[in-house]
Amino acid sequence: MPAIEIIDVVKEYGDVKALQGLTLTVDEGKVFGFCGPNGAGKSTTIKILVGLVYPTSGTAKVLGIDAVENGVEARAHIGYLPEQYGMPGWDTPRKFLKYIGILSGLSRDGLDEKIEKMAKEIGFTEYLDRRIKGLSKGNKQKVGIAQAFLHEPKVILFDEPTTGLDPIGRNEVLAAMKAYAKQGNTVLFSTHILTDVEKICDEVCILYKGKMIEDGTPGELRQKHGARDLDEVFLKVAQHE
Amino acid sequence: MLNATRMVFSIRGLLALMFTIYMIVAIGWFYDAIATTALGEILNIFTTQESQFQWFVFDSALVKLTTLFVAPIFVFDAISGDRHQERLGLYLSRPISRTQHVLVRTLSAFVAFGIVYLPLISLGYLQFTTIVPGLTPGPYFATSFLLYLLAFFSMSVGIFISVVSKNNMVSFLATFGIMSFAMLPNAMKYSMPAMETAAIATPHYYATYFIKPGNLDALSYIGIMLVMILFCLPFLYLAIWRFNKEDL
Ligand SMILES: Nc1ncnc2c1ncn2[C@@H]1O[C@H](COP(=O)(O)OP(=O)(O)OP(=O)(O)O)[C@@H](O)[C@H]1O
Ligand SMILES: [Mg+2]
Repeated sequence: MPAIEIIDVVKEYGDVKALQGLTLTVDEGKVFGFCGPNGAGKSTTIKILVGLVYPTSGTAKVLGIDAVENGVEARAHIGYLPEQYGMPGWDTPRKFLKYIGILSGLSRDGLDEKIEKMAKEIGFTEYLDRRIKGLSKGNKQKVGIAQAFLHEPKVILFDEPTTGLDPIGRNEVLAAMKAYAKQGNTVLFSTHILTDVEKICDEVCILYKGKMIEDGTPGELRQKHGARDLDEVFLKVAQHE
Repeated sequence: MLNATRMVFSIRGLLALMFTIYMIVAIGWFYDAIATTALGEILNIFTTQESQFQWFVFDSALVKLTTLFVAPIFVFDAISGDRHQERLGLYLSRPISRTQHVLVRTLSAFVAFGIVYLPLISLGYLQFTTIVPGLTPGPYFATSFLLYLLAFFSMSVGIFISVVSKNNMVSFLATFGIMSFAMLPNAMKYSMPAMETAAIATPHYYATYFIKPGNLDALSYIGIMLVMILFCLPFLYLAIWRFNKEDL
């Protein structure tokens, strides 16, 4: 059973056609890179999987569970990082993560230890008890990433997770995603940084105007287009369209 | 519950409490000012025992006003605030339904308001027993509870507007606007009998309909409670329905 299954999904926002019959499958245990120019429909696709946006037509499933019909059940298996989001500024990351943990159905027992372990892994232990308001952009992003991993979901959906992170933080997050997939979980993330994709992705697709125009392993795409790296593939494909 | 306590001990809770006290004093003064012409009487908050009793228990104008206008403070940004601050996406990506989210937000606001309201009402009772002979806790707290339900109505309207609105300020003003408008027929029915019919269509009418000391009939009380809850349901339903359709 694929971890993520999107079949012929169309999404229209009024006159804007954000997705025009997107079909996409991601197998369990894979790291999947979701690329495409601005406005291609990456965020829209991820939001449909999380149940934040309703598709005009088509089906979206996570671990075989319909993301629209059985959204609550599907979301229990999803860790999501939005592209843009706010957190309660007056709370500390510890308090915020506790709240999110409880919303995710975690028990209060041992939640504190879990949060501390998470903070250590992602590298914001020293900020755990400061107000979120005062954290730098990158450190906020780390808290955002932590809340997605907290309940150990089987499927991770990250919308541009490495924006705002310094090279150290970026590599840590990439490594964490890779390691998480190694444990049998599935990671899908959107990004504009194609070197990130090259580093950790098993598979990649390029979305263009709401349609998938390329997919395969990074190696396959390079070979097909006779390109040195994915940047070159991206430019060739985008110009061709 | 977590939310409720957090809210009460927040600036909002303090604001609501101060606003409540302010309204009580201000309206008390205003009432005295129009009830008597002697300047000296203005500082004497309550003119006569009789008028105070009537004013508070029969008409409940004061508590009704504060209840109606303080209650929305607890909900006006429950949804629109999170939307504006882009927190909704995070919360709703958790395994909870949108219906649950709206209900939890409304109920925790209701509980939070209760935490402000109950001490205030209890204090009020202590004061009233000293000036109103024969006042028993039964009718007093029964009335107070109806007014608490009126606050729930206020909150149901508030949550609906919070769902519809993209902006906290709009949500705040619209809620207050609608609440002010909705209370008019019942307030005007005393001077304009024609308003009576319109008043029946507002929950305000029922919030004070029944209370007369020594006239506490359990069955009609429950009936009135149900009628008041019925007034809230369409707004709650609309809020949930609208929220469930929204693309975030
Ligand atoms: N709420 C909305 N209302 C109207 N149009 C929208 C809405 N959300 C997205 N769109 C439109 O849908 C299209 C796809 O947007 P989406 O955010 O999915 O793109 P994206 O691939 O994530 O882009 P980016 O790389 O800039 O994040 C765009 O044309 C966008 O303007
Ligand atoms: Mg996007």
